[in-house]
Amino acid sequence: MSAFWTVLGKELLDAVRDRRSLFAALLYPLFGPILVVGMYAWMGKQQAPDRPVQVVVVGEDHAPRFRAFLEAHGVEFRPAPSDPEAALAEGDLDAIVEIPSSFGEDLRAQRPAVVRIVTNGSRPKTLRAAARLERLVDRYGRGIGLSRLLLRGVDPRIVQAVAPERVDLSTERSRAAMVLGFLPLFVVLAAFVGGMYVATDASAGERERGSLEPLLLHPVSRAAIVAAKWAATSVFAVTSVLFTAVAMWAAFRLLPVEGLGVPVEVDAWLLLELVIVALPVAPLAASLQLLLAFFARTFKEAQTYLSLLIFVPMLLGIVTTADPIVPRAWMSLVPVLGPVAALGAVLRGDVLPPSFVAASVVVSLVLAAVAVAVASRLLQSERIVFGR
Amino acid sequence: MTLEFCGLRKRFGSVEAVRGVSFVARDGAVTGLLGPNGAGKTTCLRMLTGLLTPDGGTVRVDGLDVAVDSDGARRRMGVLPDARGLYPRLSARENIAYYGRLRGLAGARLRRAVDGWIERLGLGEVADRRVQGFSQGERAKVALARALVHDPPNVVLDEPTNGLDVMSTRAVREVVRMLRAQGRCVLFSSHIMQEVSALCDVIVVVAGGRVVAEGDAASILRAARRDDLEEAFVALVGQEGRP
Repeated sequence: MSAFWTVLGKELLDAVRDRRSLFAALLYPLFGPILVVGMYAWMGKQQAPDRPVQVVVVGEDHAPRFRAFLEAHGVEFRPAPSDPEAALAEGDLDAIVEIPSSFGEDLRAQRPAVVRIVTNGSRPKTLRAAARLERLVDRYGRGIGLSRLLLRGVDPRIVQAVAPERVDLSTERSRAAMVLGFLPLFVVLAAFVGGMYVATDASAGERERGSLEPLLLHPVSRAAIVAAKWAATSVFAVTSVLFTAVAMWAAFRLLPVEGLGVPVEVDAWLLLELVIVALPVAPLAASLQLLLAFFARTFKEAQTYLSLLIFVPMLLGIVTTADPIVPRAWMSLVPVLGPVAALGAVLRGDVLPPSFVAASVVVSLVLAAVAVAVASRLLQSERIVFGR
Repeated sequence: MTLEFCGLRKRFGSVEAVRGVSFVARDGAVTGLLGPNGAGKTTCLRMLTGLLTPDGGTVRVDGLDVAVDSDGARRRMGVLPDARGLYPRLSARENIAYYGRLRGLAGARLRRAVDGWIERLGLGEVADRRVQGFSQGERAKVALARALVHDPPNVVLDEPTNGLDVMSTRAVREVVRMLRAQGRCVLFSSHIMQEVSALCDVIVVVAGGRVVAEGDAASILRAARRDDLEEAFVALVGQEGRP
């Protein structure tokens, strides 16, 4: 047991002095919150209340009442520049509204009167403006159409044969989770990134430096050595997860996301739930990384394996972010998937059965223990100790 | 205090690296394991420390069979193996103390042992610097200190002077003489004839995985029917018809 603490102490000291290990554990966690909060800020800006649509109207004299209608509904008229189409391309203008001289005559003759909306599709902003203009034109036209029906004594409701009715059952929190969906991805990734360098350095690195052989000459069980290296890696992975959670909390506290129209509720309680669900992934990731890195022939090869290993939580995270999954009982038995599903549920504010959390924690820890045991067995092999 | 090799065999795939090596290294003496590169010296020493499992034969440390009680045998040995990597981010003192702790030393005893070796090997000035920028000679001294920090009765050194300059080589030799004077059993492997003849009481010449001659310098000369040690070495090794 004392050998375990000796190796653990040495590995931690060694890792703390390694800049790459520290960066992975302490700097990476800042990356997620900055990205998610930045995304919020961006989305908030996109969803900000409609600003006036900036248009130039060509032939406004042909339809003074239509012009007044547009003006009353947040359309701003701009004096026509010398080259309106160039102004459109440069983004100074949202759209050009062209009213042909036949407009009034067509209306009176009850033929569809054409209003041309010229936009530039390469600018998403103009597309939204054009859609708004189209809706306004439609509303203006429908108003005239309805009055025509009324004049003929027809109930205007006759033209709407089917009426859609949308009922949105999502709560404020579950809508926020759509955006917060990236959070589980970053928290779970933190468990894998945090200990990556420590695991590589303590295994493949130890062999490549030529310090594995002298280490194994001691009257110390290999299980104790591997367990200590696993514990050191886990410390870094756990630190990384905790840092990510705290950084996330701080980011939502300090940055003005509340005013952006997105209901966010990242309080200490939510954070605690996240940490309970995500933390067991850290020792699991540490054990898998150590096992793979011991198996690798060289330091470089170990790094390649561990980079590939990160794709597992990354793909799971991306898939579940794009299409949030509801945790089912069997998922708790699948390593990494269980915690990812549970994290999503926690963020959506769903009630998660304690048995689900307990099962996924047990699965993570049991698998970690198995990986540590297999790695200790690997160290009995002459081929692993002396490289192949 | 003895190291006994008895009919040791080891094969790697189709290569028979060690084919029946037997000899004894006794206490109060320096036993030199002499042989060209690839003769099987390192393989023999790895079987002695229990890192390789022999295909045949036994190794005993003070009567303890390494195959049966490898931890017991390891406790009675201090080993400077072929691979002697240090931890570059730790200081010399931390490197030595780590091995002391793994040997069960702690507190004042550990401090005394580490300080003692730092002084003996003249590492005082660099002791608290990180090993990162150390010269070959300084690295070798740190590796030697950490191998001996627990005061082992049996000492095994695998080519300890490999790649060292004259000054560092002399420092290593002095340590070996001191260990002999303290009555320890020292097993020392080398491929340099002069070094072995200058330092060792008993020379075991290994070639092609076999012991081809054993005894003091004079008896080696007689066995090879030569009057020059290097000639004798070449003659003995040549008999094996190495690949």
